[in-house]
Amino acid sequence: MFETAERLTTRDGALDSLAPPPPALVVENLTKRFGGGCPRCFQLTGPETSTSRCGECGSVVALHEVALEVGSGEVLGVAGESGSGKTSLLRCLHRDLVPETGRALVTGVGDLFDDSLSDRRVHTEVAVLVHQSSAAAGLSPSLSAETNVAERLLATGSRSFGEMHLRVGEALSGLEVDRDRHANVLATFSGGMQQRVQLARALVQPPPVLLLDEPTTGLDPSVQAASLGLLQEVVDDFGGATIIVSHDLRVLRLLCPRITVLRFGRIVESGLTDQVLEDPHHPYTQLLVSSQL
Amino acid sequence: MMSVTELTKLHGSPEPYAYLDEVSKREVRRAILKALALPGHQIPFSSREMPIARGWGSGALQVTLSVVGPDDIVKVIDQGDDASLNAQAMRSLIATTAECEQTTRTVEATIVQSRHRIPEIPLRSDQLLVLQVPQPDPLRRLAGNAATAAALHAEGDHTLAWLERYEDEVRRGGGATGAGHPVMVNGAVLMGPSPIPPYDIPRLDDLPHPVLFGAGRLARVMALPPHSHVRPLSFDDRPFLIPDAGVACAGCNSMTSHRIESTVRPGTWWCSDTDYCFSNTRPKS
Repeated sequence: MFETAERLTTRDGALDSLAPPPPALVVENLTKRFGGGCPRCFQLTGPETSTSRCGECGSVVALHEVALEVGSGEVLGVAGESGSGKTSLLRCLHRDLVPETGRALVTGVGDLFDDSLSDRRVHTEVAVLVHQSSAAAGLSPSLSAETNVAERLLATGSRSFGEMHLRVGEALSGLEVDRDRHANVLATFSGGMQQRVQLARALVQPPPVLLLDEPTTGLDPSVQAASLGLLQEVVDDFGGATIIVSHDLRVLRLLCPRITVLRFGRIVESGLTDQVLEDPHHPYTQLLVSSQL
Repeated sequence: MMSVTELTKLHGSPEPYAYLDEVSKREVRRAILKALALPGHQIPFSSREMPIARGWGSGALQVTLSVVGPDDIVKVIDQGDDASLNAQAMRSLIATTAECEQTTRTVEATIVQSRHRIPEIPLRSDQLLVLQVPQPDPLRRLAGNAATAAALHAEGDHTLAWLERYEDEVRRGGGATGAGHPVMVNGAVLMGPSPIPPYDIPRLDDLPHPVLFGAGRLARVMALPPHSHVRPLSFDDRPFLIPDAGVACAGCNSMTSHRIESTVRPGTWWCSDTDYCFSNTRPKS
């Protein structure tokens, strides 16, 4: 009796894990142009014409009708060379850029681009960005690491110092930031340590969306290895939707089960990372894979 | 515009009454009325050039000159001291141009203009307190610019002010906060109450008289109507603390007043409010 019941639950569990997780972030029809734009911009740019710059009006089409879905607990990698629109995509989702058209529906929040949602609310409650530059990720270099991590708790109305101090301390220590450095000013931290502070800021109160922009760029190889290990733990435990943007396919292979390849602002290929990287269909993806060192 | 001849005919003097011309005074009064209607909010006004440097009390001076009348008795203090040069100069400017009385005694005054102190002797409902404010916006510094700070005030997002409190706790263990601790007015509006010492912060609550704040350099006025609810910004589990000198005033032996260490005789502590100190030692008549 017992055995059957147990087997049944495991089988159910296995079935559940095979089904795709419900989408936590749905991006639809996202388009962003830099410049005045003209009616022919979208015809004259893209992978077919091998440019993102419109020959007629000179505008740059950073993203054109980009659509993607990320489930809760899922990690999506975005690959592409410089200028492919990777960073524009993240900056749109972090509301640093206003897209021309498109929606980004976050479960429990609604459209990320809705005007009624303030930028600060997006940054503190919805989408946390981890970026090579702490300032770009919304941290204050003149405040202590601990205060920077506590900001998201303060923004959501926590008013008990003791409780926040404890949670922030745990988050920072969990990411191997020494306790005696918690009160130090962020500007005195190295790049790798600042990244840990940024991750702690995300994990202290997990947001629905986590955005990682080139998480290993700017770190030396030994720190990269440590950082990757830590990142893997973080994204594996993280319950929300994660998007990792990187030009480094090895990083994406390690961290993301699913991958999307951007070129000249368009999605050219997407699928399971192993499939895409082992058997790339699109010539551009083939080039990307073959040009790895 | 009035010619000098017309002015002279009206006032018997080539200068307008109380230094500012009527148009300017009306503009300041309108800002004050608006400020009283919106307690704690920063109301912009067209701050005039004054015969004192901006940042030396030009805002509060404009406020005082706009409300003063010939029947008023004016007291001006600088860090509690009536005898400071800046306080004396402003007091004599107000009294001369407004043709009114001046005093150093809190109980006699109808208008008290002050830099960074609330007089030790509680003011009555028929008295007015005008405070000089160098930095009216507690969000301005961390927000980086005035427009962002204004938007945050409008959204009721005071996170940046809380960040500073958190940083205070982390770096200095809280407690000894500096001057001008931000306060919440009527539970909703965040206000920088001018750099008054921590001792005076709780004393802003439920005052029977109005308090007007003038920031000349940044061209803002703020106001607290009588009986406004004012609370210092502090964490639920970290009550707002007032540091105490722990030493009695060398002049009047007071253990309850706000005392500061003498720069002339280090090691001795004195009431920062000189009038209060004198009134304790003055023979009662």
